[in-house]
This record gives sequence, C-alpha cells and structure tokens, in this order.
Amino acid sequence: MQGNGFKIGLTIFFVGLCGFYLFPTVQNLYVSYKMNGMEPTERAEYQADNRQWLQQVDQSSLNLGLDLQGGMHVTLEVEVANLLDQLAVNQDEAFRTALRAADQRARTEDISVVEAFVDEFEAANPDGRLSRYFRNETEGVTRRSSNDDVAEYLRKQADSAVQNGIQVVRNRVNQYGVTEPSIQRQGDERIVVELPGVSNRERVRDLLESASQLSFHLMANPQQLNESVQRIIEYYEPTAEDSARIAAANAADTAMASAGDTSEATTGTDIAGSAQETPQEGTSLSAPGEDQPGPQNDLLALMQPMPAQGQPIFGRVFASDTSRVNDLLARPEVQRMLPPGTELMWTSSPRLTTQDGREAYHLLAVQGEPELAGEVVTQASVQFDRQTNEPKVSITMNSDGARIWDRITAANVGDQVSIVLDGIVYSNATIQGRISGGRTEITGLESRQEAQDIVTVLQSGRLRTDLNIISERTVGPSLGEESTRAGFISVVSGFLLVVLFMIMYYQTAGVVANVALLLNVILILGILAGFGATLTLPGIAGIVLTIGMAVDANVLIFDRVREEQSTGKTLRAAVNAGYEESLSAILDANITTFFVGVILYSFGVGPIKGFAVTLMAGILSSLFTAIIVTRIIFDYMVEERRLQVSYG
Amino acid sequence: MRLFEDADYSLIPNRRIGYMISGTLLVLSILSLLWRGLALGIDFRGGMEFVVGNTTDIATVELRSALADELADEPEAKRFGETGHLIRISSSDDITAVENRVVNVLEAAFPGHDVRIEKTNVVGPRFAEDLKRGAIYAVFGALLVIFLYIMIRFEWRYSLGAVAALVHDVTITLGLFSIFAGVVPFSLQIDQSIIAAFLTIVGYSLNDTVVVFDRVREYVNLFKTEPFDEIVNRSINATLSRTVVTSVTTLIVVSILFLFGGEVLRGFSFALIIGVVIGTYSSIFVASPTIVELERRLEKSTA
Repeated sequence: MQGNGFKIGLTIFFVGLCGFYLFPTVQNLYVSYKMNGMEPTERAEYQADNRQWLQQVDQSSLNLGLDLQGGMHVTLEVEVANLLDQLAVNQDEAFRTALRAADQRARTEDISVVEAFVDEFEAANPDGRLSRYFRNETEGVTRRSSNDDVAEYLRKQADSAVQNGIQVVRNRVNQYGVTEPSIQRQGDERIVVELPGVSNRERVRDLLESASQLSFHLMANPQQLNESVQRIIEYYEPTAEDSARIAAANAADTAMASAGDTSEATTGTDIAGSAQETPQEGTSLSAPGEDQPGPQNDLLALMQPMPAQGQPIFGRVFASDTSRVNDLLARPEVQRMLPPGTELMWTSSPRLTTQDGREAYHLLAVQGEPELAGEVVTQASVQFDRQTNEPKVSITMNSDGARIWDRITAANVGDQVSIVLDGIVYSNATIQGRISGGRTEITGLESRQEAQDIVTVLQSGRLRTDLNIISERTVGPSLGEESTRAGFISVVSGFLLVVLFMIMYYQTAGVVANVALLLNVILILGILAGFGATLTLPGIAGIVLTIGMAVDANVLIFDRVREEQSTGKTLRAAVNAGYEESLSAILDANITTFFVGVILYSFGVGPIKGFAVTLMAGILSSLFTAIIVTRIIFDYMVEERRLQVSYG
Repeated sequence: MRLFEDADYSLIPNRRIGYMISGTLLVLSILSLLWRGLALGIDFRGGMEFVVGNTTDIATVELRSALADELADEPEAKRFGETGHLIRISSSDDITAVENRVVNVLEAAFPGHDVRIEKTNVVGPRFAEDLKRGAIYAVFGALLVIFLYIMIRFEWRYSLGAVAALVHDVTITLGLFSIFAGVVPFSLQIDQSIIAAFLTIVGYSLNDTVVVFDRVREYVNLFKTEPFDEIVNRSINATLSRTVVTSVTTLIVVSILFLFGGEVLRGFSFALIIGVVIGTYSSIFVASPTIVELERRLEKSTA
C-alpha cells in the first residue's frame, strides 16, 4: 500500500475537479425539474427572482449540441470575389478574367479567393501590376506598390469584411432575440452561426443572408415623433377583454420601473465641421414626466417612452424585450402611425446599464431613405480634441460625397443625422452647422471605445458585404428531444449490460472494473464540462463506445493476472505482474487510438468534432481509471485486508 | 466464467483459410465498389436533405413519386424511424423555396397531413468539396500516423502488418456498405459520421492488433528457440480470451447504439458493428499472418 498516497490524492483531485465542473449541470437539471412542476405564474416569479443565478448556472453547465436541443447551425461565407470587384477602382478584361478564375478555383481548392486572385493574375500577366486596379492613397496603395503590398491590402480588406460580417450577423441575431447564440469565425472567409431553439428557419435565413451597407440617414422630427408615440401608446391601451393579461404585465412593469432609478448613461452626440470649436454637451434625458397610461398597456409594459427635446428617441427597451417590442410595432396599423417615411431602428450598443447588469437599448426614428451611401467615406479615424482631450471621430469623404453632405448639412442644421449599418444605428448626432469640404467630426462621445467602434463600422461597412449560406443544419425540438432520449437510453443500457457481463466474467474483479467504468463516465462528462465542450449526439455515441472499449484495459490486466495465477504465483504477485506486464500493450493500443481522435478532431466539423472530443476524453479517463484507480482498490483488498479476490 | 482458457488453436498453420475468406470478401468488396460504387451523402456531394414529420402513414414509394412529379430533380425518399421520411434533393436553389415546395407538394398530394420539417441539412457545393478534402486528409493522415507510431514502437514488419489489416478492414467495410446500400431499410450513404466511424474502426482494429503484437514482442524474447510462426500462434492464443471479451463488450454497446441510438446514428453504428467484427478477425487472420509471411521472406533472402 506504500506509495499509493499520491495515487489516491490524484484520484480525489480529479474526481473533485470533475464534480466541481459538473455541479452547475446537476443544479441546472434540478432547477429545470423543479420549474417544470410549477404553475406558469409561479415559474415566472421564480425566474424573475433568481434571474442572475439561473443565467449563471445555465452558462456554466454542460452545453448540449444543437442536434440535441434543437436549433439552427448555419455556415455563412463572405463573398470575397464581390468585395474585390467593389474595391477595384478601374477594371479591365485581365482583371475580370483573373477574378472569375479565382472564384472558380476557390470553390474546388483549399485556397482563399484573394490568394487565388493574385496567383491567377500573376500567372496570366507576368508583368502586370495589381496596383493599377486597387489604387487607394489613404490605405497606402500607390501606383508604385508591389503586388505583394497590394495582396496584403486585399487580405486586410477581406479580413475586415469578415469582421464586419460578424458584427452585422451579431446585430441581426440580437434583434431576432435568440437566447445564447454563438457566432464564430471559421477560417478566412466563413462565419458559423449557431442558434438554439429557432423555429422560423425562413426568417433566420433572410436575416442572415441579406446584404448590408453603411448609409447616412436623417432622423424624424422629435416633435412629430412625440405625437406618434402618444398615438401608438393609445393604440395599445387595453380594452375590457385584456384585463386577463394584466396580472402578467404587472410583473414586468415593476422590473422596468425599478430600472429607471439607476443612473443614466446617455449623452447627446454632436456633429460638426472641422472648423467648429468646442461642442456643447448633449442634453441629458429626464424620466418621462407626462401622464402615463396604466401599467396594463402592452407596449408600456415593455418600453419606456423618452420624450426629450431634440432627440428622435421612440423609447427605451431592455435587451430581453426587444424582439417582443419588434413584434408589437410590426403591425401595419402601428407602422402607419409613425411620421411619414420614418422607420424605427435600434441603437448598436446599450444606452443604459442597470446596477444588476440589465442593458437597455434605444429605439430611434430614422428616415428610411438614406441621404448618402457609406462608400463615399474614404477615411475615418479616432482623434482627440486638442483642448479638452475628448475623443472624437474624424471622417473624410470623397468629392461626390462632400458635395451632397454640404447640401444636407446646410439644409438641416440643428437636426440629427445617423450612421446606419444594416438597420442598426451606430451613431446619431446633431448637425452643428453646414459642413463643406468633406471633413466631418463627431464629438461629445462617451469614451475612446465608442469612438473606435464608430470608426470600425465606418471603415468596414463602407463596402457591401454579401453573406451566403453555404451549409445549414437544423434540428426541430421534437427530433432533438427524441435524440436525447435515444442517447440516454443507449448510455444507460450499454452501461448496464457491460457491467453485468463484467461481473459474470470476472466476478469480484469485475465489480472493481465496474467502479472504474462508472468513474470513467463521470470523468468524461467532467472533462467535457471543464473544457466547455458541447455534448452532441455523436458525442453521446462516443461515450457509449467508450463504455464498451474502456473495459479493455482492465480485461487485459485481469487476463494477465489469471495467466500469472495459473503459473502458480500468489495472488499478490499475480496482481503485481498483471499490472506491470500488460502496461505496454495498454499504452500502445490507447496512444494510437488517441492519435486517431486527434486527427478526427482536426479535420472534422460540427458534430464530428464532438465525437472526437469524447473519444479522446474517454481514452484519457479510461487509462486513468483502469491503471490507477483499480490498482488502488486491488492493493487495498489484497494487501491491506488480505482478501481473496476472485478473477473469475 | 472462463472462455478460451489455455486456448491452443492452430490459427497460423491454418492461415490459408483466413486468406480465402479475406480474399473472397476483398474481391466481392472491390467488385461491388467498382460496379455499384458508393453513394456519397450530401456532406460530400452537396445538396439538401429534409426530414419531414407526420408522414409515417404515407408509403415511401408514393411520397417519392409525388415529389418527383413536382420537383425537377430526382428526389430520394426513405423512411426515417418513427418521425416520417428523409428526402434528399440535389438542388442548389434557395433553401426556403425548396423547403416550401416540398411541404406544399406533400400537403397537396396527401390531404390531411400537417407536414412539418423536422430536420434540414444543406451543404453547398463548395462546402462539400471542403468536407471531402477534410475526410480524405483525415483517413490518410490517420493511416500515416499509425504506421509511423507502430514503426517506432515495434518494427517495420509489424507496421506493415497493422496497416495491411487496416486497409483490409476499411476496404471490406466500404464494400459491405456498397453491397448493402438499398438492401437495408436505412441510409448507407457515406457522410461525415461514416468517416468518423471508419476512423474509429481503424482505431479499434489497431487496438486489437497491437495487443497481439505486444505479446509477440514479449514471446520472441522468451522463447528464443521457437520458430517465429509458432510464437505468433502462441501469442494469438494467449490473448484470445481478451480479444473475445473486448469484442463482446464493444459489440454490446455498438449493437445498443444501432438498436436504440435513433435514426440519426443508424448508418454510423452499422459501420461500427461491421468494423468491430472485421477488426477482431483481421488482427488474428490478417495482421499476424502478414508478419509471419514477412519473416519467412526475410529468412529466405538471408539464407
């Protein structure tokens, strides 16, 4: 038994670690079981009381893949060929031929469109200069730039287009109101979007695929808007039949009112020509002081109107309620009550954060028709005011843009203008005066970060980013549930049968192996939870398979012990020899299988990765349990207690 | 309980029987692969796959013909467990349009059915190319790594023996997929999960082979005077109990996956069942004879 202290410590450490990582999952299962037994009102109350805790538990518990919980998995690709087409200031036949060939090649080969384009162009025109097509003084691409420099510039542009695509997708998804969406970049040109529990596939596809482009919009007249807001609120005044819903609305309203007490983070932003001196601070918003209709109003239950002067704000809504407000306001009769030509758009970032971490967005009334497209922007950067050291955004436009901008700003001094990308307002500011010459500054910004965000959107959104769905996997909730049940049944029945077989075949030793097997399953789940991996249906298959294969190491050891016993060794000597002699076979066999798991993980996508992860986790944990844990148990039984252990 | 205790079968001396079985299976597999080919799933050729629910009482043939009349492409339709049907269309049109067409066609042809789409899987042609490339890299990468590892840990002869067994296993499993496609009532198209199953088979078969080889390595030092083929035969017999027990436990769980794992895992677990049987067989009748034959050649050339 001497020397086993370390092994025992290690086992306790690993099991404790897995317990720590699996604890939230168990909590989550318990909570959802408890909530299932509650009345709907009771459940809503419980959820409201423990919102933060529930969220935390949910986030740290083992993730179920979309094939189990139902949802949409979409792979989007940014049309880089289209981007190159837009970037090229002048095109000729050689350019178009190379671009077509590159687009074709990227479809069949493992090469990005930019690399393929440069390659094709250089192959067809050995002396050709790419700088001819992509001259852009502000980005440092001049007539003399080498092809490598141009390629670097194109790569950068493609990269920022993908970044921009991710931003656009994130906003669209947030608007749709999905819980726990995942948006990730994959490789050079792809974006993987995972949306749990989505039922309206068509809407999501449209949402993800539509092209986006930056534009400048004028905004609604605040006074006119105010009247519209009042009319729409009146429209949602409850009638007698609605009284049944009052109770539910009440709960939500209390939450809203308490949030209003926290500090406001809103400042107005101003826009001015470069010549302008210090901008004036924006007016801070006050809580609505007008007579409000009762809390039973559907719209007011979710939205707080913000009738402040000079700001075309329709209202303020918590992030969790935005999609419901969208639904309410989407009704045609409500849309008709808005000032003519205006559309309601959300702000890109929250304008208020309450103390308990809830974020609220503003709904702004924007003129639907853009005044200016984003492509006129040639340069955007963050700068600091020389006197106040406040961050500001400096924008330069090309001559066409500057001319139109001059006219717009002259005609609308004192009104607000907004920078819109994909139906989301990234910045809205008051025009301080006529801006001639195309150099514009946005001042009165909150932070350097805010300025940087605006610059990013100006730079990346100026070109149209086309996103195409190149792969989609959706699983309906009922099929997901069926898969989960099938997976669960497979794990349990597979486990029980193997356990029975082992006891039958190896008797006492079989029981020990079964302890190791149970520990094994717990360790695999713990590893998955600890690394934040997702449990998919193939992943469950991997666990089931591991249950069958994990006993292999113990089978090897036990058979060896039997062999050693048959040569006349004592039990103690036979156990020692059994473990020692079979170690090389166990390691060699498992290391090779582990390699297979690694390769599968590197080349597989989606659910297959999940399978590879559980396979690898299974090998590691079965090595640990079979070699170390069972040894501890046998040492205890054979050496401490001097028991006669039967190996069947 | 003890099985194959003190087993002493003449396996290596009778290896020609194994050669005949393997040879027949290999020839049949290769012929079927050449003749019937393999059905690639949409993962590797692109297209759309829908699982429609609430259609369990519609005959698959009728469902297919209703779709074929309306959709230009030749759609495939299969039963999908208790849910309904699996429909495959090799179209690259707008997903929503195709989806709506399928639902509309089915609801018009079979009134009273509230057809729901339960599952979609759409793979664009370019993405399919990527997946195909990934699968090919994965399979060859795995074989290469295994070859190198065995070569480092054992000798090159053992390496060849192991890889010969793996190629044998994968070829026959592929062949059986080609032979059984259309015969069994579930989909046997080669998709990503089947590739994962193949690599698992590779891992499993290797596991088995390594255990025998490990014993050979040990006995070579122990019984220095014995001829190599007898050592190998002795090693196989000594590990036979373990080989059978592990195969049984693995077959138990794989069969459970096949029976209870649901329609999604049907093809995957089918591949694993074949693979476990073939993999166990091959470590005894392919990998081990290969090292014996190589040893003989070597002796002859040095003698």
